[in-house]
Amino acid sequence: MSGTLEGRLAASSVPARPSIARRVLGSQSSGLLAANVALFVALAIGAPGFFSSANFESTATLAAYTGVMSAVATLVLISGGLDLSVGAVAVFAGQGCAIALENGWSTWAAIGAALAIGAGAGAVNAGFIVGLGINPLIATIGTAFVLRGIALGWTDGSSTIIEDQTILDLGAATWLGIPEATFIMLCVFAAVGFVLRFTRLGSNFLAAGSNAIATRRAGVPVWRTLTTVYLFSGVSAAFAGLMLIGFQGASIPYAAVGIELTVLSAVVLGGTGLVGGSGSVLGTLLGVVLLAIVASGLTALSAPAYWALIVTGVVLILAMAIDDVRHRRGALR
Amino acid sequence: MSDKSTAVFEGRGLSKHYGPVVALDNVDFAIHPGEVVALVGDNGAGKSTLVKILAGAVLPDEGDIFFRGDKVSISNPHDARERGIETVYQDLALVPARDTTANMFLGRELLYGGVLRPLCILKRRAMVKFTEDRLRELGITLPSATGVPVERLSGGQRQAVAVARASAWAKNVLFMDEPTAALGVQQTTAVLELVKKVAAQGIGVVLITHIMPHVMDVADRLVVLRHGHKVADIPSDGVTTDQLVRLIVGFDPEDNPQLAHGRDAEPAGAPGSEALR
Repeated sequence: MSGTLEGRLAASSVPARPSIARRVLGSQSSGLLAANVALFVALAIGAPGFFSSANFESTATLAAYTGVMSAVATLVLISGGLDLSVGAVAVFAGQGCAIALENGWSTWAAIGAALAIGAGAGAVNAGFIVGLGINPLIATIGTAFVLRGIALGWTDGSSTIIEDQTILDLGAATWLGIPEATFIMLCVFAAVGFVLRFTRLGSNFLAAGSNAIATRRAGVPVWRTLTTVYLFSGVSAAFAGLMLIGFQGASIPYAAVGIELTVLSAVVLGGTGLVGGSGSVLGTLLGVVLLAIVASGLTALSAPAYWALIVTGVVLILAMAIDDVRHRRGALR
Repeated sequence: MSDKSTAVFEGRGLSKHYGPVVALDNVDFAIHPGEVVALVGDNGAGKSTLVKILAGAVLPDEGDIFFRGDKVSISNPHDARERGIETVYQDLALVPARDTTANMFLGRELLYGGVLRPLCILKRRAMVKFTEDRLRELGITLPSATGVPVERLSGGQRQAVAVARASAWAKNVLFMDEPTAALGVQQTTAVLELVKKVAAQGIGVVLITHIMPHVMDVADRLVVLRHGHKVADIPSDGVTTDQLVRLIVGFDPEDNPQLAHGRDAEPAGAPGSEALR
């Protein structure tokens, strides 16, 4: 059933090689795409204010901020890793940028400082996970706690107002009615997709996630591959942190609590497994969009905010269940 | 010791202990260009340890390794690979979620040069073509060299992929750990044909196997290990399966009276390389 739809999609996009098309538009991606379209149409018709440019702009900007982290989180999961420190890194790096600006640093120096914080956090995570062999779940939860603590202590829990226009534009400017942040997110997705599909680094991410021992035996410096992925994750989280402070107009140390789980949900919804070795960047994009539509739609329907959490959870489990059933059927064949 | 030509790769006095367990004790092992050596022995005889040492996966406690007569240090698999020494491990060392082409080129991908070089962009098409050619050369039939993860191939097909990969890169020596254990009759024949082809190109092939008829068909020389010792290093001509089995199990009346009793009718078959020469 799903095969025919998938086949049709595949045939229309990349006729010469169905195998690549399958990877790009995997079965879960086509289902997700359908779910996205259906939800969007239903909400556009049924929810007042959903189909408006104001709602689109704010929804797309928020989605971009999770999207940047989710795109790179796809690489982390594909490599067999996990990074639950992205929310803390985003907040901490954003705060670093805000404080640097407050102290008279130039825009680019402050942005550089934020990205350096992200790279540093990624390096620390890599040191624990790759160097010391600590489980990534534990290691990144640990760094998340520490970074949250430092962020709160740095300003004693108070926020830092952003006045720099470049940063504010990250969260507010639009080009042709589309948020600047959305363009940035799409660029990040394109870059991640390119790396994964066309470069040796992407090939090594996939190989290390599928069988790290065999990959090492084949001469690939797996430790370097995995260090790279955590550096990417840290830097992308820091960049998302810049988008966040731009959107909020301030660095708020209490912000983005639990965002790492939203990121993880988007990636898993997109069909990337937790075991590593395979995944879909396009799927993650669709997952990000789906979660954004759900949250925005519920707001437009004036549902209380907690419903977004409940619906997100249900959607995630449902998606996993559907995927599991599909896999078992595949295995029986 | 064989002295028909200079050994391309040689280990002398190799020993390896795992705690109190002697895995390998003072073993000499030489491989000459273009010969097929069968390395045989019972479970725990030291075959895998010997191959792992020579392939750089395990460091010996004692002993030296020589490449084309020069003493070399093989401290990791990369050192061995650099000298054109490849291994097909029994677990195949394939990456299950990747396709045949990606496995074939794992760690040695073809990349675009020039300005694109720093980006390390894969020459996917060239790699697929090479893989397809290689598979065709060896008579290996797969659903596709691209797009199908090797985890979706049969056990025999996976073995074939691993053999194709190692033989594509082995310039001097190819170690194969039980290469036919998981194969069907047709694929076994194909792999043994492949072994002969590889050897004909001047590459020394070492088969680690316990499947006797194959050994006899293909090997030029037999090396038998027992309890970490080398008990025979002989040309395979004229050696019967029965004689080989006795070398492997170690026909020794004092160690194993029951076995000795069963063999009483044939006392002349006392084992040892001397008896067989």
